Amino acid sequence: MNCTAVPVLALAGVLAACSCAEDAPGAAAPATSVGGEALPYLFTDITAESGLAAFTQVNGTPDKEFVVESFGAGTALFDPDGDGDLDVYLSNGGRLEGLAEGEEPRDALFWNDGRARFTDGTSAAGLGDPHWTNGVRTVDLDSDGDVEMYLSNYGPNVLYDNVGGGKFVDVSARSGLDDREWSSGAAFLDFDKDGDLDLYVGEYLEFDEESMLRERPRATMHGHSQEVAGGKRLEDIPVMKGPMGLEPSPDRFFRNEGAGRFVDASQEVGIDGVRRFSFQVLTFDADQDGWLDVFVVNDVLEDLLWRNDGGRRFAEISLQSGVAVREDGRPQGGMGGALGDYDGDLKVDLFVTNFVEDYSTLFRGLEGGFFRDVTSKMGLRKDTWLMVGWGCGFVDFDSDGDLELFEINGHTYPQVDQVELGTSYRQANQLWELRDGRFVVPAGGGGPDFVVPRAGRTSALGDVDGDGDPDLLVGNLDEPPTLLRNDSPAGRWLLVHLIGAPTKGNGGRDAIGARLVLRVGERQHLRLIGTNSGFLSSNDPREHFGLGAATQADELVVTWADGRVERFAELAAGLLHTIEDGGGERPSRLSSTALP
Amino acid sequence: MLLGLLIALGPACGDGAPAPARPSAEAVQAMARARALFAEEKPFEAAAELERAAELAPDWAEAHLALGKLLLSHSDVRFATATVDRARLERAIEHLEEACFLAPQDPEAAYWSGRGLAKADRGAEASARLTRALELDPEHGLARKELGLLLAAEGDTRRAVEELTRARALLPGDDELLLRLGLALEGEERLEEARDAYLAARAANPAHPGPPSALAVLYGRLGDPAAAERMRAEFERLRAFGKRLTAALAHQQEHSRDPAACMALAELYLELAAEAQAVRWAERALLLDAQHAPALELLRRLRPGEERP
Repeated sequence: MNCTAVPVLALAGVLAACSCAEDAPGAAAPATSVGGEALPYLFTDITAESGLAAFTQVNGTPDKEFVVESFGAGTALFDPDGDGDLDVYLSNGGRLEGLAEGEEPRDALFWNDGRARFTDGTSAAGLGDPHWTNGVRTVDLDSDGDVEMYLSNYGPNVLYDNVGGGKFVDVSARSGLDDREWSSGAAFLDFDKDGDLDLYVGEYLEFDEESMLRERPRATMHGHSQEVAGGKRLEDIPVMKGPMGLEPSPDRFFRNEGAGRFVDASQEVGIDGVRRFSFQVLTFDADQDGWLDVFVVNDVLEDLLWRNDGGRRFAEISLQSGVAVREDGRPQGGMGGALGDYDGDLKVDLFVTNFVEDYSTLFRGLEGGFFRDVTSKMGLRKDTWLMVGWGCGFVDFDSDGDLELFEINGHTYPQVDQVELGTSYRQANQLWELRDGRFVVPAGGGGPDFVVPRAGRTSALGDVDGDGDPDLLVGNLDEPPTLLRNDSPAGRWLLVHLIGAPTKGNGGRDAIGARLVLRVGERQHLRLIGTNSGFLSSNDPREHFGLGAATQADELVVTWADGRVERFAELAAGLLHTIEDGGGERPSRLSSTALP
Repeated sequence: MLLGLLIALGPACGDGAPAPARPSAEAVQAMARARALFAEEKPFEAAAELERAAELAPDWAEAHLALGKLLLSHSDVRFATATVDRARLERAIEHLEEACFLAPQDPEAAYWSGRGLAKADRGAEASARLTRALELDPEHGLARKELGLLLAAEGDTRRAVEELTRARALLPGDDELLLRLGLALEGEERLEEARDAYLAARAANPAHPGPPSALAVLYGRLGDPAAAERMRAEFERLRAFGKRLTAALAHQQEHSRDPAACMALAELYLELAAEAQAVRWAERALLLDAQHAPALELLRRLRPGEERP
């Protein structure tokens, strides 16, 4: 947040409690109003001054002739050198034709100086994967204190081991995780509670590159000519074929055998017989039985909720849980997904972004592990109908204690601009705030920089400038990413970082599966650790809580993934609270520090 | 589709509508040509004739209404996936609004305009038109249903329940209405009533995936996991059925004048005991061939004693 730039009128009471850090040096003063009205949410595009504009994502042909060109641009905000600030990983795509070996677009790592100015450190870090990367999942896989990185690619997936000092080594083949399907989402979890992290990989479809290049099939146009509307005829405009008409792939589950080796256990755990066009993979304990479950957002076909049956098998329960389809029983073209508790009832809610001419779906968590589609009731149906949504998240951008919701948008067909269908290839990002029990677009929609139409795909949340509030990194197709610094007027905040003990069933050092409930006065705020919300990207592992005007939280209840519960009282605002798990042997240690 | 088109060309004005301006003979002829073109499944040629009729007789409400209904019916298109031709939809609304202006006492004009406005996400205007249609004809089931759907889409489940309940009395076998009523009731936490509405929707159309998917969750919430599991299994069967249905529909669209293609769909629906849907396709086959033996046989079996035109 940029304190000097906050509007005075809109949230004067909240501003009095502002506890933000100094401005990032060199930051341009953002516009704080539109038409003379102060904006309640304001994001400033600092891509250029941050240095990230040096990177351009490449994703195939301009016309998107092949479905493989329709998504990608996974990103990560993480701290591989352990210096306390968030560095950036930007994945790159490719082209099916016309690139000589060695000239493939490569992924890139950018080091943060702590004030959101970045320098390319790809080569020195041993990175720069040349494959067509879709997703980036960061995790401390070996619980050694350094964060590893798993890339889900069109082509062999890549696992980089962080060997310390900001250097990585490709251990894909040795680990057995060099899955050669067309992978999209990926999520790590300790499925069997044996103390190490297993991996669920979402696979998209079986893309026969040779025949696709030879035949260059196009989607068939049906229906009636649009000739009455400006002389255009829909059937004259070819678009990519897929995913419909192509064969979906079964997802894969890799069991961690220890010593850095994984085996494909898809059949053993019971997921091999189900084929979907999989995208985002989320992990959470949907039925509150103490075992982490897996939710998979799928394109075109029903979403999946895999219930973890005691670490032995997965059982698919999406329909009876209420998350397989939208309320009228129709499957949706799902892309991204986010978990959060927007209504503060301590039950997990779920947001799924979907294809155009449909709504992005908000599922409210109910008692007993059930969900209900409340999209219309919450006011999101109309807003999302003409958007193709991808990245998303529940986040308290203005630190007032309520969760906002955002969606990153962009159509898959550039050709949509040639016809009058009420939508466009480049689409604006969307932001909603809670007001009177509904999600509504705030004045300015997040500010002029937030709503610039682009071919947006992925999102990563995190505090890149060290001022405590969450910023937003957006991965776009065929252009640089967009780094949106959060300059919204804001209340007080605190950050919580859990460091798990690598004991059985505890989710590794990243504490995947832990649950936080922060109590501030009468309000309680739920956060889940390691859920993997968004689209094919990795968020800041520290959890942000908005406190409003409160100077401290009264209590933080940590439920570790293995079920142990610990309580911490009186956590001060404006600090990073790091909790190192004692693993049950000794009390966990809380240290509260200012941000670096 | 043809049934819908023929219905779309029905008279514009209800009993209470003021006497329309007398159209010229040329305009009437254009309307007649449009009807003939509809029958030949040439909707855009028909639309051109209706445009001509409306131009020749700009105060002729019936021409505007017929054109608006036709354009609205054909605003659903595919651009690789299902989408809406917004330009065509806007033109439909223009003509439907013109019909409302010219025939302010016509509930049909108000209903169709409300429907178009709802489709265009112009909720407040749609609500006003549908309310007007119901003022003119409180027994207008489709207008009541559309208003209920609009309220549900806007998240007003309490009022949606009211309107859909009243619509149900007017359209008792409408599966979509019953499903939406169930959803609205569930939104109000009236779970047993929601269950009953879902069951009625399921009975009205056993091929609709909505009722079993809703019931699979609701039975669980009501503490009946065995019934929830039955609904899940039913949904899975419908999922498989849906693939076959999609293929059969695509075949029928490609062979839209072939009664056998219609009967293939009728037989498919019969597998699920979805008799109302089967009858519709058999009747469609008879429109294409009044002597089509399989269609006649099916209707004799399902609707014994009913006379066929």
